[in-house]
Amino acid sequence: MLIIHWVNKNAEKILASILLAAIVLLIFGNVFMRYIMNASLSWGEELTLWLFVWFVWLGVSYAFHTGDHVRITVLRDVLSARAQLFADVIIALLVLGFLVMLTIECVKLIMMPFVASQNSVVLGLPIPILYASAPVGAGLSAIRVVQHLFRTLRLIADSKA
Amino acid sequence: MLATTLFLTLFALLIFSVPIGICLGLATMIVMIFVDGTPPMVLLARSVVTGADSFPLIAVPLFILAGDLMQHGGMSRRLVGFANALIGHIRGGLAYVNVLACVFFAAISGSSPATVAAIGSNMIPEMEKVGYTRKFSGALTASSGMIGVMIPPSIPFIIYGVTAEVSIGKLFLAGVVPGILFALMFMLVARVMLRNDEVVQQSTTNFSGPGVWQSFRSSIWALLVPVIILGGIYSGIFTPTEAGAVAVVYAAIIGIFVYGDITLKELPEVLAGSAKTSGTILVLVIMATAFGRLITLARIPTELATTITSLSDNPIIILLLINLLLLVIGMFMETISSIIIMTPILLPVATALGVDPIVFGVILTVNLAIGFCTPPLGVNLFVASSISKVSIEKLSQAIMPFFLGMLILLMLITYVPAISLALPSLW
Repeated sequence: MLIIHWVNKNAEKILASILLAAIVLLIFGNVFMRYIMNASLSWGEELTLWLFVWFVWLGVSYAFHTGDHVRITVLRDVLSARAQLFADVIIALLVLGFLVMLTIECVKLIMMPFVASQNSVVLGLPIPILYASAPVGAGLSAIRVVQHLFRTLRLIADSKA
Repeated sequence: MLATTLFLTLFALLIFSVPIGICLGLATMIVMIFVDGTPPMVLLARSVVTGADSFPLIAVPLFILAGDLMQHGGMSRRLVGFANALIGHIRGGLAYVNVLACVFFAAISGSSPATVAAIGSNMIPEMEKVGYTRKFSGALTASSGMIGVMIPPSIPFIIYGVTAEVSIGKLFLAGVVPGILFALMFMLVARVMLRNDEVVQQSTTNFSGPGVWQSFRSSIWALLVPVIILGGIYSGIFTPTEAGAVAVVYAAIIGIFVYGDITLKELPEVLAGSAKTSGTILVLVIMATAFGRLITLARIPTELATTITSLSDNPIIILLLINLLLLVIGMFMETISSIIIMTPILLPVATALGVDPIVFGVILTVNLAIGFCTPPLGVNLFVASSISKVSIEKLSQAIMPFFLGMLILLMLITYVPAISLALPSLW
């Protein structure tokens, strides 16, 4: 249980941080190699890009986890505390619907022949690994939204009592 | 039909407080499902991957991380100290110090709200101590924070460079002179506003040569950041993205080993914070890319361009209309997604009028940056309000004189392209 709790708390945070650090080191390392060692890494750019796309999606899910995504709250702010909670439920359901649909469409895309059978130019890695970032990130985000949804529902139940 | 459904859905979702990135994606999805003759959903699924598949875009999280490291590493504090030693002794000097500190911080950060947060949390309490009202200080910081995206590095310039496929390095250079002009304008407005204020007319510190030298020596590592970033880019040593990575490594080394304001143990938390901030910005990029592809396929940009050009054949009037449109968009929309969506629509119109794509990038960014400082959606106002504890309504009133100054300079930048092009043309 302890492990599940830890993973729930830190999964995207740690993965996204590691990816960001790796991107910094790869790009900096490439500059260093080019000027100091006079030999740039041909695979550096493609690997960095793949890490970046995964970083983007894990970062998106991380921001869902912490509830930090940017939104316009002008209208929400004038609602009563209780009405805000109900609005949050509807918002969460809209976001969830989008993320689930997007995950399904992304999985469908990966199974299409023009994606499934391709390999990348430099590294020769299967392209589905790159495209898997979106369904994984959207799927994780969906889990985070469900967690927030339950939290909001619990608050509504409590506020009634 | 398509355009109406798309934009109505988008605005309904936005006003309902759905996260902005999701608004863009969901509006795109709803149109793809319910409107006939639209591209299949595969386009959306592809865009959310290919939208991020861009090497120049990696500069965004890198400059966010570099900025966070420099703030936690004690650079912003030392830059404020240096600005204060330089001009703090002038009458009403703290107002000028505030603006100058924003200019310094803009040179190490690419974000406008980050500039307001960094300088505001240092300066607004200091200004209150010597008698400035928090309303004035908050409005001043919210305004001069917009310099954060004009003086390089700049996240909006990176996004525009990626979208319009123009040189990010040239855009960075093009922003320097307009950024300095805005700083001078804000100082001038502050001067006029404070002319009858006797409390702040008294200077609190004396100028001292040794004091300047000492604060210069302590902030030299921060002052070197723009030299390294810009020098590296323009001498061709590295690309803007690589400059971001170099800035991160530099900021980490200075923060940990030279200033010692940050420990190795704190590094993971800074990294995680930047990853989160990047997530909130990059979701806008990928969703706006999907949204942008849909409206391009629906030929909305072409139609809008024809509409705009049919309103007048006078280039001066058309540019004025474009500015008005962008100002309104900047007031109501988020910046990153606005750039990705509006660039393909307006850039062809502007280039047809003979506007240089670099200059158009500056015009676009300045318009949207003015939107940072205006209600209802002005991130600078929100940050300044939470630091100064002054309500958004009061800040919005206090910012009016600065807003007028911004409009004057916006016109100048629009009709005098040399202001933006002077520096880039040297390279």
